[in-house]
Amino acid sequence: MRLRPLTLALLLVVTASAAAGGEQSPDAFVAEAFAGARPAPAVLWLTPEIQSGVSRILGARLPGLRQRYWRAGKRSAWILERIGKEEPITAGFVVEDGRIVSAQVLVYRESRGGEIRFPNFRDQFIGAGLDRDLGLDTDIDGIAGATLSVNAMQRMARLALYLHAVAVGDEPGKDMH
Amino acid sequence: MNRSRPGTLRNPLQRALHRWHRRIGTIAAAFVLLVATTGLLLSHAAALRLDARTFDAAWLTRLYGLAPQSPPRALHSAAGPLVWIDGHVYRDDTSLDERFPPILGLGENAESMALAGSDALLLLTRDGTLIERLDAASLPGPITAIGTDADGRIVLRSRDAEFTTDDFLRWSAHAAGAPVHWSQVDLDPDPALLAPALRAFRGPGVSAARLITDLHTGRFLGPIGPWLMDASAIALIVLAGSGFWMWAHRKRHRRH
Repeated sequence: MRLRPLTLALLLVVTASAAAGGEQSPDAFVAEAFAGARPAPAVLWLTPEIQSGVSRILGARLPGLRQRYWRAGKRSAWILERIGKEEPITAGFVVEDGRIVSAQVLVYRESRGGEIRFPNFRDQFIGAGLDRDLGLDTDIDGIAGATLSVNAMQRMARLALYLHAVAVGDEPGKDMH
Repeated sequence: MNRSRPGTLRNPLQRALHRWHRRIGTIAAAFVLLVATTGLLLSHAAALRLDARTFDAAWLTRLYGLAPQSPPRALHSAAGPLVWIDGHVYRDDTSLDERFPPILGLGENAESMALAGSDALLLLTRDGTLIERLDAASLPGPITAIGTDADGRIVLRSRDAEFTTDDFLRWSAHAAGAPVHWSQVDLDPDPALLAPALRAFRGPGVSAARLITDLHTGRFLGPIGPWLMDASAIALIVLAGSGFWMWAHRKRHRRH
């Protein structure tokens, strides 16, 4: 079958768009977070005090008694999940020295709002830290029509920063500069 | 010239109008009664506490999609029955997970239990408290079976290989040929065993407010319902118009 030039051009545009904003597998995310030297997973036991901080960020406790993460030195990687509008969004965050160094959407299940997968949105989280109120100290521009997905990503970013601080023994929201 | 008696319909148009006024009125009457009655109830929803009243009849829960779409599965555990219904996992009437694949089996050791699906695993304490949910990235591969070996270690089968773990963080190969008691899931569980989970799955049922609203809008009749209600509304408009026309014509006729 011979493709017409216009059809071929459209296919290339769609493919390029998909590649630019595509999801990443959890395995690939963790491997990339540590430059291929994937550490063994660790667990953070969710004490009542930690769950209290979690509730301030999410409005609810994390399910379960422990949270898995990966850590090497001052860098940690977290795979978190949060409901956008109706379906959960799985995202990965890499945190180092109290700042986000990478934010990835690993699995997006909603039918709308998938623009959060694109780098021009995700890159806003790079360098973000926690303020004393456990909010982000960086403004994140929203996306029209994807408010709930954007909010979910923001909450997960805050959660990753908080859990990182707890895991490495820092005071959450402390100025890292 | 023949003159008709006063009050009778003199021309074909008037007769046709009366005839169709009666027909449309008769057909629309049932829907109009339904809309009027449900509308009255909804106007006083708060006073009647329609949100608090619920119905959980089997036919109604089926109609509203509150009945299970696929056959429930169950397992017996140290913490009691574990039941899977359409992605939900229950211990008695407590929800442990809402997006779990069909359960395949349960592994138990002295400290914990592991409930396995094809690409996820729930790690539980012996009393059924959720410790952690493990997704595909934290598993050695797709799970086809789970069980316990002679040493009391939980074993997974994945892609014709067997894996075991001490902490569910790192997996190692299970000794080849070592006997494993593989768990079997009950695909036809006893209804009495399912009852608490089914109650939790269905929730309190359909509220009276929801039911009456769906009757009022016609959604209760499925996709065609709203169209029928629209047709009834148009019929009412036509009735009002034709009725007014007939009244105005009769009034004019009496003056002459």
